[in-house]
Amino acid sequence: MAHSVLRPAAPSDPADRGGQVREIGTVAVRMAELRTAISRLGVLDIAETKLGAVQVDINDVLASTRSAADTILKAAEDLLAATQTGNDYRVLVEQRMFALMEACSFQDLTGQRLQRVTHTLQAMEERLRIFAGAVKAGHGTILSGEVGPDTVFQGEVERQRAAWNDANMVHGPGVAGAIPQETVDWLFATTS
Amino acid sequence: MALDTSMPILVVDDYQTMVRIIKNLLKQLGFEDVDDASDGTAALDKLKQKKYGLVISDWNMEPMTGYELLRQVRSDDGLRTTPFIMVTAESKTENVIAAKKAGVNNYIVKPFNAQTLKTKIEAVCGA
Repeated sequence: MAHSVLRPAAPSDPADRGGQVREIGTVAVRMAELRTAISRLGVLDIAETKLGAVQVDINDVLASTRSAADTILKAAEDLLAATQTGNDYRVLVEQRMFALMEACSFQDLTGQRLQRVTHTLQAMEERLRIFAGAVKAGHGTILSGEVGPDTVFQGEVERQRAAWNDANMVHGPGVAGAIPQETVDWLFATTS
Repeated sequence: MALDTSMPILVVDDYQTMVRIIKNLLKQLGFEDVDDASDGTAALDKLKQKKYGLVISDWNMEPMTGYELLRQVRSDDGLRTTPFIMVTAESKTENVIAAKKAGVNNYIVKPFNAQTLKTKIEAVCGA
């Protein structure tokens, strides 16, 4: 008959007490494994770095779309309120049309930001899948690397993408330390 | 400053919206012969088939970035003198310096307007 960990054994039965001790020992080992697995999830990295970056990116997407909408509405309002005629009206229409086209560049910037959000979510999904495998709660497996007490569940896809991005991509838009066009021009004028 | 608006220009960007914006801005500036490519690899193919007077390239593209395209252009005897303007979303000082050291002729930060583009093209290609 199987004993529950929580079910007290009869004090007069030393054999049952031994079984309980072994069962508690097993539970303790399992809890230690779980604790290790949770620590390998890199919860602090996710909470402090990745989710923080996602929040910044989403806020920037909102700001970009708001700015583009303002520009588009302003162009429409200017054209509807126009009193010019002939060539003056044509010039005004051309100016506002190009303002509209320039405003559409928000799609590129928001696209890059949302791509970063997607990569972060994919990385978190992969870590959780590996975690599920480690705690035998699912079919995930540890994909790479030596596993020790300090190992973080960073999967191969996440590691490879992060390494490639670090080596090859510009870390804009919205990145801390980003510089405006004026600073770029100054750098071009002063560096050789 | 006089610009040769008959020169062919290659626009390289993986966002079709951005390609359309740049091509429309170039058209407004008088440039009619404008081609496009969606990444560095496709751009290199086009550069080897046609003589371009200017390349305007995004940095962030996969699999070949604009920076790698720039390096390949500068290491190719037939292409090394092709004027090259890098266009990026907000970037950092080290990116600008790296691009300059690799031989970029100018650098534009997105979003930008027709006047900025005109000024940079004049600085790079103006007579």
